[in-house]
Amino acid sequence: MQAACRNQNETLMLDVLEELHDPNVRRMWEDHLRACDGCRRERDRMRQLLGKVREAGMPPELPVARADTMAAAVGWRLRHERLARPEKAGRRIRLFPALAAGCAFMLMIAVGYRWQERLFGPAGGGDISAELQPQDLEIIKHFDLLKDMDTIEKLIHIVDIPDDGQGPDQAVPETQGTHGDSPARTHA
Amino acid sequence: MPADEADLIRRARENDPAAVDQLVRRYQKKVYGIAYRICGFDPEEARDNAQEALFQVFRNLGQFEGRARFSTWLYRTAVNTCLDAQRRRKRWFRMLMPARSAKRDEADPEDPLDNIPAPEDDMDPVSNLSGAELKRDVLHALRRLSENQRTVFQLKVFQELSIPEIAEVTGMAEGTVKSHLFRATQSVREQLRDWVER
Repeated sequence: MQAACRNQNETLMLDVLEELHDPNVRRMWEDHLRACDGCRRERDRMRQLLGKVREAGMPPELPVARADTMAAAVGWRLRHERLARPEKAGRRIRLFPALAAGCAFMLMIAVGYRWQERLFGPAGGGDISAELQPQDLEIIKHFDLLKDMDTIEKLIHIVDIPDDGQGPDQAVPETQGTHGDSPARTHA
Repeated sequence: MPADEADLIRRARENDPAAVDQLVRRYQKKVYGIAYRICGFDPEEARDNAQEALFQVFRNLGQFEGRARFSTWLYRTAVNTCLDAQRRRKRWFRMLMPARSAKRDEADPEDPLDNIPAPEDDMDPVSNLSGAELKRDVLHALRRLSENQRTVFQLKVFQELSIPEIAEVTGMAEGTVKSHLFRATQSVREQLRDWVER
Protein backbone atom coordinates (compact mmCIF):
# COMPACT_ATOMS: atom_id res chain seq x y z
CA MET A 1 0.00 0.00 0.00
CA GLN A 2 1.37 3.40 -0.98
CA ALA A 3 2.14 5.77 1.96
CA ALA A 4 1.22 9.46 2.04
CA CYS A 5 3.80 11.86 0.64
CA ARG A 6 5.85 13.50 3.41
CA ASN A 7 6.20 16.76 1.48
CA GLN A 8 2.39 17.06 1.34
CA ASN A 9 1.94 16.62 5.08
CA GLU A 10 1.12 20.27 5.86
CA THR A 11 -1.34 20.59 2.98
CA LEU A 12 -2.98 17.35 4.06
CA MET A 13 -3.40 18.67 7.61
CA LEU A 14 -4.77 21.99 6.38
CA ASP A 15 -7.23 20.14 4.19
CA VAL A 16 -8.59 17.85 6.92
CA LEU A 17 -8.78 20.79 9.36
CA GLU A 18 -10.64 22.81 6.70
CA GLU A 19 -7.99 25.51 6.66
CA LEU A 20 -6.87 25.19 3.04
CA HIS A 21 -8.10 28.55 1.77
CA ASP A 22 -5.56 29.41 -0.92
CA PRO A 23 -7.27 28.47 -4.26
CA ASN A 24 -3.97 27.78 -6.06
CA VAL A 25 -2.71 25.46 -3.35
CA ARG A 26 -6.10 23.75 -3.22
CA ARG A 27 -6.11 23.13 -6.96
CA MET A 28 -2.59 21.71 -6.88
CA TRP A 29 -3.52 19.53 -3.92
CA GLU A 30 -6.59 18.16 -5.64
CA ASP A 31 -4.51 17.38 -8.72
CA HIS A 32 -2.06 15.57 -6.48
CA LEU A 33 -4.82 13.64 -4.77
CA ARG A 34 -6.11 12.36 -8.09
CA ALA A 35 -2.69 10.92 -8.80
CA CYS A 36 -1.64 9.80 -5.29
CA ASP A 37 -3.48 6.91 -3.74
CA GLY A 38 -1.48 7.12 -0.46
CA CYS A 39 -2.38 10.76 0.21
CA ARG A 40 -6.03 10.15 -0.69
CA ARG A 41 -6.22 7.24 1.72
CA GLU A 42 -4.48 9.21 4.47
CA ARG A 43 -6.88 12.11 4.03
CA ASP A 44 -9.86 9.76 4.38
CA ARG A 45 -8.33 8.19 7.48
CA MET A 46 -7.72 11.58 9.04
CA ARG A 47 -11.26 12.69 8.33
CA GLN A 48 -12.57 9.50 9.85
CA LEU A 49 -10.36 9.99 12.88
CA LEU A 50 -11.52 13.56 13.50
CA GLY A 51 -15.10 12.35 13.11
CA LYS A 52 -14.48 9.76 15.84
CA VAL A 53 -12.89 12.36 18.10
CA ARG A 54 -15.90 14.67 17.61
CA GLU A 55 -18.24 11.80 18.37
CA ALA A 56 -16.38 10.99 21.59
CA GLY A 57 -16.25 14.61 22.71
CA MET A 58 -19.96 15.21 22.20
CA PRO A 59 -21.34 16.26 25.59
CA PRO A 60 -24.53 14.68 26.89
CA GLU A 61 -27.60 16.84 26.40
CA LEU A 62 -27.94 19.52 29.05
CA PRO A 63 -31.34 18.81 30.64
CA VAL A 64 -33.80 21.71 30.51
CA ALA A 65 -34.13 21.78 34.28
CA ARG A 66 -30.34 21.99 34.65
CA ALA A 67 -30.14 24.73 32.04
CA ASP A 68 -32.82 26.70 33.92
CA THR A 69 -30.99 26.23 37.21
CA MET A 70 -27.75 27.36 35.65
CA ALA A 71 -29.30 30.50 34.16
CA ALA A 72 -31.04 31.30 37.45
CA ALA A 73 -27.84 30.74 39.44
CA VAL A 74 -25.83 33.04 37.17
CA GLY A 75 -28.52 35.75 37.44
CA TRP A 76 -28.72 35.38 41.22
CA ARG A 77 -24.95 35.60 41.66
CA LEU A 78 -24.76 38.66 39.41
CA ARG A 79 -27.52 40.44 41.36
CA HIS A 80 -25.79 39.73 44.68
CA GLU A 81 -22.44 40.74 43.29
CA ARG A 82 -23.87 44.04 42.08
CA LEU A 83 -25.54 44.69 45.39
CA ALA A 84 -22.28 44.05 47.21
CA ARG A 85 -20.12 45.93 44.73
CA PRO A 86 -20.75 49.59 45.79
CA GLU A 87 -19.65 48.76 49.32
CA LYS A 88 -16.56 47.03 48.03
CA ALA A 89 -15.78 49.89 45.68
CA GLY A 90 -16.15 52.34 48.56
CA ARG A 91 -13.83 50.24 50.66
CA ARG A 92 -11.32 50.18 47.84
CA ILE A 93 -11.51 53.95 47.39
CA ARG A 94 -10.95 54.51 51.11
CA LEU A 95 -8.21 51.93 51.27
CA PHE A 96 -6.12 53.55 48.58
CA PRO A 97 -5.69 56.97 50.23
CA ALA A 98 -5.07 55.25 53.54
CA LEU A 99 -2.27 53.23 51.98
CA ALA A 100 -0.89 56.34 50.27
CA ALA A 101 -0.96 58.29 53.53
CA GLY A 102 0.75 55.43 55.32
CA CYS A 103 3.48 55.30 52.69
CA ALA A 104 3.95 59.09 52.85
CA PHE A 105 4.20 58.91 56.65
CA MET A 106 6.80 56.16 56.52
CA LEU A 107 8.75 58.15 53.91
CA MET A 108 8.65 61.24 56.10
CA ILE A 109 9.97 59.28 59.07
CA ALA A 110 12.77 57.78 56.99
CA VAL A 111 13.74 61.15 55.50
CA GLY A 112 13.48 62.85 58.89
CA TYR A 113 15.71 60.22 60.47
CA ARG A 114 18.32 60.67 57.76
CA TRP A 115 18.27 64.47 58.13
CA GLN A 116 18.38 64.28 61.90
CA GLU A 117 21.50 62.12 61.59
CA ARG A 118 23.10 64.58 59.22
CA LEU A 119 22.25 67.66 61.28
CA PHE A 120 22.81 66.41 64.80
CA GLY A 121 25.06 63.41 64.27
CA PRO A 122 24.15 59.75 64.88
CA ALA A 123 21.65 59.13 67.65
CA GLY A 124 23.22 57.84 70.92
CA GLY A 125 26.73 58.25 69.59
CA GLY A 126 27.44 61.73 71.10
CA ASP A 127 29.86 62.53 73.96
CA ILE A 128 27.81 62.69 77.17
CA SER A 129 30.66 64.09 79.23
CA ALA A 130 30.53 67.30 77.21
CA GLU A 131 26.96 67.92 78.34
CA LEU A 132 27.62 67.32 82.09
CA GLN A 133 28.45 69.98 84.66
CA PRO A 134 32.05 69.83 86.05
CA GLN A 135 30.50 69.32 89.52
CA ASP A 136 28.67 66.18 88.37
CA LEU A 137 31.80 64.91 86.71
CA GLU A 138 33.66 65.28 89.97
CA ILE A 139 30.99 63.14 91.72
CA ILE A 140 31.25 60.44 89.10
CA LYS A 141 35.02 60.50 89.29
CA HIS A 142 35.05 60.00 93.05
CA PHE A 143 32.06 57.71 93.19
CA ASP A 144 33.98 54.82 94.84
CA LEU A 145 35.30 57.13 97.51
CA LEU A 146 31.83 58.44 98.21
CA LYS A 147 30.55 54.88 98.55
CA ASP A 148 33.30 54.13 101.08
CA MET A 149 32.41 57.27 103.01
CA ASP A 150 28.82 56.19 103.13
CA THR A 151 29.85 52.79 104.57
CA ILE A 152 31.98 54.49 107.25
CA GLU A 153 29.08 56.75 108.11
CA LYS A 154 26.80 53.72 108.62
CA LEU A 155 29.41 52.04 110.86
CA ILE A 156 29.68 55.14 113.03
CA HIS A 157 25.93 55.24 113.25
CA ILE A 158 25.83 51.66 114.54
CA VAL A 159 28.79 51.97 116.96
CA ASP A 160 27.67 55.32 118.33
CA ILE A 161 24.57 54.02 120.16
CA PRO A 162 24.00 56.02 123.37
CA ASP A 163 24.33 54.14 126.72
CA ASP A 164 20.93 55.28 128.04
CA GLY A 165 19.22 52.76 125.73
CA GLN A 166 18.01 55.27 123.22
CA GLY A 167 17.80 53.87 119.72
CA PRO A 168 20.30 54.69 117.05
CA ASP A 169 17.62 56.53 115.15
CA GLN A 170 17.73 59.27 117.68
CA ALA A 171 21.46 59.66 117.37
CA VAL A 172 22.69 61.83 114.57
CA PRO A 173 25.92 60.75 112.92
CA GLU A 174 28.83 63.08 113.32
CA THR A 175 29.43 63.26 109.65
CA GLN A 176 26.18 65.23 109.36
CA GLY A 177 27.93 68.38 110.30
CA THR A 178 25.12 70.58 109.14
CA HIS A 179 23.06 69.53 112.16
CA GLY A 180 25.75 70.47 114.63
CA ASP A 181 23.45 72.57 116.76
CA SER A 182 20.73 69.98 117.27
CA PRO A 183 19.91 68.75 120.81
CA ALA A 184 20.69 65.08 119.92
CA ARG A 185 24.26 65.96 118.98
CA THR A 186 24.74 67.87 122.22
CA HIS A 187 23.57 64.79 124.14
CA ALA A 188 26.01 62.45 122.39
CA MET B 1 -22.60 41.07 15.61
CA PRO B 2 -26.37 40.74 15.09
CA ALA B 3 -28.34 43.86 16.03
CA ASP B 4 -30.43 42.08 18.64
CA GLU B 5 -27.27 40.68 20.25
CA ALA B 6 -25.69 44.14 20.44
CA ASP B 7 -28.87 45.39 22.06
CA LEU B 8 -28.90 42.48 24.52
CA ILE B 9 -25.27 43.14 25.45
CA ARG B 10 -25.98 46.83 25.98
CA ARG B 11 -28.95 45.99 28.20
CA ALA B 12 -26.97 43.33 30.10
CA ARG B 13 -24.30 45.94 30.80
CA GLU B 14 -27.01 48.13 32.28
CA ASN B 15 -27.87 45.25 34.64
CA ASP B 16 -31.05 44.19 32.86
CA PRO B 17 -31.71 40.66 34.27
CA ALA B 18 -33.88 39.67 31.29
CA ALA B 19 -31.08 40.47 28.83
CA VAL B 20 -28.56 38.53 30.94
CA ASP B 21 -30.94 35.58 31.09
CA GLN B 22 -31.43 35.61 27.32
CA LEU B 23 -27.69 35.75 26.64
CA VAL B 24 -26.97 33.00 29.17
CA ARG B 25 -29.54 30.76 27.49
CA ARG B 26 -28.17 31.56 24.05
CA TYR B 27 -24.60 30.56 24.91
CA GLN B 28 -24.89 28.10 27.78
CA LYS B 29 -24.80 24.97 25.60
CA LYS B 30 -21.64 26.11 23.83
CA VAL B 31 -19.97 27.05 27.10
CA TYR B 32 -21.06 23.73 28.59
CA GLY B 33 -19.53 21.96 25.56
CA ILE B 34 -16.21 23.77 26.06
CA ALA B 35 -16.23 22.98 29.77
CA TYR B 36 -17.13 19.33 29.13
CA ARG B 37 -14.11 18.81 26.88
CA ILE B 38 -11.69 20.77 29.03
CA CYS B 39 -12.88 18.93 32.16
CA GLY B 40 -12.05 15.54 30.68
CA PHE B 41 -15.62 14.65 29.62
CA ASP B 42 -17.05 14.91 33.13
CA PRO B 43 -20.63 16.25 32.82
CA GLU B 44 -21.01 17.20 36.49
CA GLU B 45 -17.80 19.17 36.66
CA ALA B 46 -18.56 20.66 33.25
CA ARG B 47 -21.89 22.03 34.53
CA ASP B 48 -20.19 23.68 37.51
CA ASN B 49 -17.43 25.15 35.37
CA ALA B 50 -19.86 26.32 32.71
CA GLN B 51 -21.88 28.14 35.38
CA GLU B 52 -18.74 29.75 36.77
CA ALA B 53 -17.58 30.69 33.26
CA LEU B 54 -20.94 32.30 32.43
CA PHE B 55 -20.89 34.19 35.71
CA GLN B 56 -17.38 35.48 34.93
CA VAL B 57 -18.47 36.48 31.42
CA PHE B 58 -21.35 38.64 32.63
CA ARG B 59 -19.48 39.91 35.67
CA ASN B 60 -16.75 41.24 33.38
CA LEU B 61 -19.06 42.35 30.60
CA GLY B 62 -17.87 45.92 31.15
CA GLN B 63 -14.46 44.86 29.82
CA PHE B 64 -15.93 43.76 26.47
CA GLU B 65 -15.01 46.58 24.11
CA GLY B 66 -16.80 45.25 21.06
CA ARG B 67 -13.64 45.01 18.95
CA ALA B 68 -13.86 41.21 18.71
CA ARG B 69 -17.05 39.22 18.27
CA PHE B 70 -18.96 38.64 21.48
CA SER B 71 -18.80 34.87 20.97
CA THR B 72 -14.99 35.01 20.62
CA TRP B 73 -14.70 37.05 23.80
CA LEU B 74 -17.08 34.68 25.57
CA TYR B 75 -15.10 31.61 24.44
CA ARG B 76 -11.92 33.23 25.65
CA THR B 77 -13.35 33.85 29.12
CA ALA B 78 -14.91 30.38 29.23
CA VAL B 79 -11.68 28.63 28.17
CA ASN B 80 -9.63 30.58 30.71
CA THR B 81 -12.11 29.96 33.52
CA CYS B 82 -12.22 26.22 32.81
CA LEU B 83 -8.44 25.94 32.48
CA ASP B 84 -8.01 27.82 35.76
CA ALA B 85 -10.49 25.49 37.46
CA GLN B 86 -8.62 22.46 36.12
CA ARG B 87 -5.27 23.80 37.30
CA ARG B 88 -6.72 24.55 40.72
CA ARG B 89 -8.18 21.08 40.94
CA LYS B 90 -4.88 19.46 39.99
CA ARG B 91 -3.04 21.56 42.56
CA TRP B 92 -5.45 20.54 45.31
CA PHE B 93 -5.28 16.92 44.25
CA ARG B 94 -1.49 16.98 44.37
CA MET B 95 -1.48 18.74 47.72
CA LEU B 96 -4.06 16.55 49.42
CA MET B 97 -3.05 13.22 47.94
CA PRO B 98 0.58 13.44 46.87
CA ALA B 99 1.14 9.69 46.91
CA ARG B 100 -1.94 8.95 44.87
CA SER B 101 -1.16 11.76 42.49
CA ALA B 102 2.37 10.43 41.90
CA LYS B 103 0.99 6.94 41.32
CA ARG B 104 -1.53 8.35 38.88
CA ASP B 105 1.22 10.18 36.99
CA GLU B 106 3.18 6.96 36.71
CA ALA B 107 0.14 4.90 35.76
CA ASP B 108 0.02 3.17 32.45
CA PRO B 109 -2.05 5.36 30.16
CA GLU B 110 -3.40 2.27 28.52
CA ASP B 111 -4.97 1.02 31.75
CA PRO B 112 -8.47 -0.07 30.65
CA LEU B 113 -10.03 0.61 34.04
CA ASP B 114 -8.95 4.20 34.12
CA ASN B 115 -11.57 6.82 33.34
CA ILE B 116 -14.20 4.77 31.60
CA PRO B 117 -17.18 7.12 31.55
CA ALA B 118 -20.46 6.03 33.08
CA PRO B 119 -22.66 4.18 30.57
CA GLU B 120 -25.56 6.12 29.19
CA ASP B 121 -28.90 4.41 29.68
CA ASP B 122 -30.44 5.05 26.28
CA MET B 123 -27.75 3.18 24.31
CA ASP B 124 -27.57 -0.52 23.49
CA PRO B 125 -24.79 -2.39 25.36
CA VAL B 126 -22.53 -2.96 22.33
CA SER B 127 -22.54 0.61 21.15
CA ASN B 128 -22.39 1.71 24.76
CA LEU B 129 -19.20 -0.25 25.33
CA SER B 130 -17.72 0.89 22.06
CA GLY B 131 -18.63 4.52 22.81
CA ALA B 132 -17.10 4.22 26.27
CA GLU B 133 -13.91 2.75 24.81
CA LEU B 134 -13.72 5.48 22.21
CA LYS B 135 -14.23 8.15 24.86
CA ARG B 136 -11.55 6.64 27.04
CA ASP B 137 -9.05 6.44 24.17
CA VAL B 138 -9.79 9.96 22.97
CA LEU B 139 -9.40 11.20 26.53
CA HIS B 140 -6.05 9.44 26.84
CA ALA B 141 -4.93 10.85 23.51
CA LEU B 142 -5.94 14.37 24.58
CA ARG B 143 -4.23 14.00 27.95
CA ARG B 144 -0.96 13.26 26.22
CA LEU B 145 -1.01 16.71 24.63
CA SER B 146 0.39 19.80 26.25
CA GLU B 147 -2.18 22.24 27.64
CA ASN B 148 -1.74 24.63 24.69
CA GLN B 149 -1.94 21.84 22.12
CA ARG B 150 -5.05 20.43 23.77
CA THR B 151 -6.81 23.79 23.96
CA VAL B 152 -6.05 24.63 20.34
CA PHE B 153 -7.07 21.16 19.14
CA GLN B 154 -10.33 21.24 21.10
CA LEU B 155 -11.26 24.68 19.84
CA LYS B 156 -10.61 23.57 16.26
CA VAL B 157 -12.17 20.12 16.30
CA PHE B 158 -15.07 20.59 18.70
CA GLN B 159 -15.89 24.29 18.46
CA GLU B 160 -14.92 24.45 14.77
CA LEU B 161 -13.18 27.80 15.15
CA SER B 162 -10.80 28.95 12.43
CA ILE B 163 -7.07 29.44 13.11
CA PRO B 164 -7.40 33.28 13.37
CA GLU B 165 -10.35 32.85 15.76
CA ILE B 166 -8.37 30.40 17.92
CA ALA B 167 -5.49 32.87 17.94
CA GLU B 168 -7.88 35.54 19.17
CA VAL B 169 -9.41 33.31 21.83
CA THR B 170 -6.11 31.98 23.17
CA GLY B 171 -4.03 35.12 22.64
CA MET B 172 -1.42 33.14 20.65
CA ALA B 173 0.08 34.08 17.30
CA GLU B 174 -1.53 32.39 14.28
CA GLY B 175 1.73 30.59 13.46
CA THR B 176 1.89 29.22 16.99
CA VAL B 177 -1.72 28.04 16.77
CA LYS B 178 -0.97 26.30 13.49
CA SER B 179 2.09 24.63 14.90
CA HIS B 180 0.23 23.42 18.03
CA LEU B 181 -2.65 22.23 15.90
CA PHE B 182 -0.44 20.18 13.57
CA ARG B 183 1.47 18.58 16.43
CA ALA B 184 -1.73 17.84 18.33
CA THR B 185 -3.43 16.31 15.26
CA GLN B 186 -0.40 14.13 14.52
CA SER B 187 -0.20 12.99 18.13
CA VAL B 188 -3.92 12.18 18.30
CA ARG B 189 -3.70 10.34 14.99
CA GLU B 190 -0.83 8.27 16.36
CA GLN B 191 -2.68 7.51 19.60
CA LEU B 192 -5.92 6.56 17.89
CA ARG B 193 -4.34 4.57 15.10
CA ASP B 194 -6.38 1.46 15.99
CA TRP B 195 -9.66 3.31 15.68
CA VAL B 196 -8.78 4.53 12.19
CA GLU B 197 -7.72 1.11 10.93
CA ARG B 198 -10.96 -0.56 12.11
